[in-house]
Amino acid sequence: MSPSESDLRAALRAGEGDALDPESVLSAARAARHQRRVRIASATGAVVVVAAIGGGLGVADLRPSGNPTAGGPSASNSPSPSGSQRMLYGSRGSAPAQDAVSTLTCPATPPTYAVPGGGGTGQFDGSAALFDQPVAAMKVCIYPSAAGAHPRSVVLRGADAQGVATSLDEAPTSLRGRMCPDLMPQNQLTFEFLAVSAAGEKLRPVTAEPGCRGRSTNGTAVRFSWSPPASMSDVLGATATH
Amino acid sequence: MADDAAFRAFVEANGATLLHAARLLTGDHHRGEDLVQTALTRLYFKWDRVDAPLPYARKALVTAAIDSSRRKWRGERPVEELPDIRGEDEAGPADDRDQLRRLLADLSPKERAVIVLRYYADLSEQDTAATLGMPVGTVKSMCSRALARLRVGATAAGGAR
Repeated sequence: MSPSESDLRAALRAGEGDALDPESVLSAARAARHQRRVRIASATGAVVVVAAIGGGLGVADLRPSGNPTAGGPSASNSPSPSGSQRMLYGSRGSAPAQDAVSTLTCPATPPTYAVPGGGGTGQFDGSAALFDQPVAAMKVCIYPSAAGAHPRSVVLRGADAQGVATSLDEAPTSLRGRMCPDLMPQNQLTFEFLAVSAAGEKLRPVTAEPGCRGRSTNGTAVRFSWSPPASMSDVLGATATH
Repeated sequence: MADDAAFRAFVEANGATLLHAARLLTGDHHRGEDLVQTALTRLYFKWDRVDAPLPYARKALVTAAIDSSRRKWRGERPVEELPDIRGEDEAGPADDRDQLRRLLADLSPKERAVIVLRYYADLSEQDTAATLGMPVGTVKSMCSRALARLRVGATAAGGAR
């Protein structure tokens, strides 16, 4: 057989006539609409919650470095064993690092290193890393130059500690060719960085004098003209003025 | 808020035609019922904004049919008792109409949609093209190809009998 179009129409119409129950169609459609609204509301709620959590974390993250005196969730103020102000910044590091950094105390005066070769030529491992292991946390002791002023300290953890360590290591290894006019304000502070690794191992202390002619050294490696990273300059500066 | 009374009237007036079209599109009684429910639910969501409900329902029907044919899982669910399906022997010799319906199931989903819209819903080529969202020329060529396959299949089946 070779069907004509009328045969095809007749074949397609055969068996038609079953009616739909409008009520069952309507109730199923209503149920689907309800489910769709619930889904949309759930998705919207989830987006709002995630946005709120994200925003809250962002604020919490910004608070320590943006407004350190406000005291963020990870900041606490308590007298250190040496009587100086101690504040905590950054996310919590590893437990060994936390334990190790909590035992560190600032010396009464910053240590003075006799750097081999004067440190100005990059010889005698002068360009080696200031911190020989990744830094997990550090206590920063800040010594004002004014006579009789007490040292202050701040504990940095996680990314904050790593950021400061990196900025120290990336400072110039030589003063050669560097212009430091006398008009530039000279630094009035000395920093001592007491760092620990993630395993809680104490690293060699680093003494730093920020500023154009300032020198940072652990007794072997030397850097010059260090300045704190922008994100931490307020924290270190605010701590220093306490 | 959908006008439920108007929607109910629409289903009463056009439900049977849409259900039969859905069965032709799926080649299955129960899947056809599921398909028409899907299409009518989509229409219900847009009821307040749709100017021409029947073309919208037809479009929703063929779109859902083509979409469901792309999915491997067809929504079957296990049942405690197997449905009583008539076998070929009980049905007796298939007449030409049954044979054409079976051949329809062998077409591609789009070819089947073209045949159902053109020869069951009696839409013009332009309306069929608009419903399927394809050019008129494509509808023409697809329809011609589908008819040729149906003729070949029917001739072969007639020769085998």
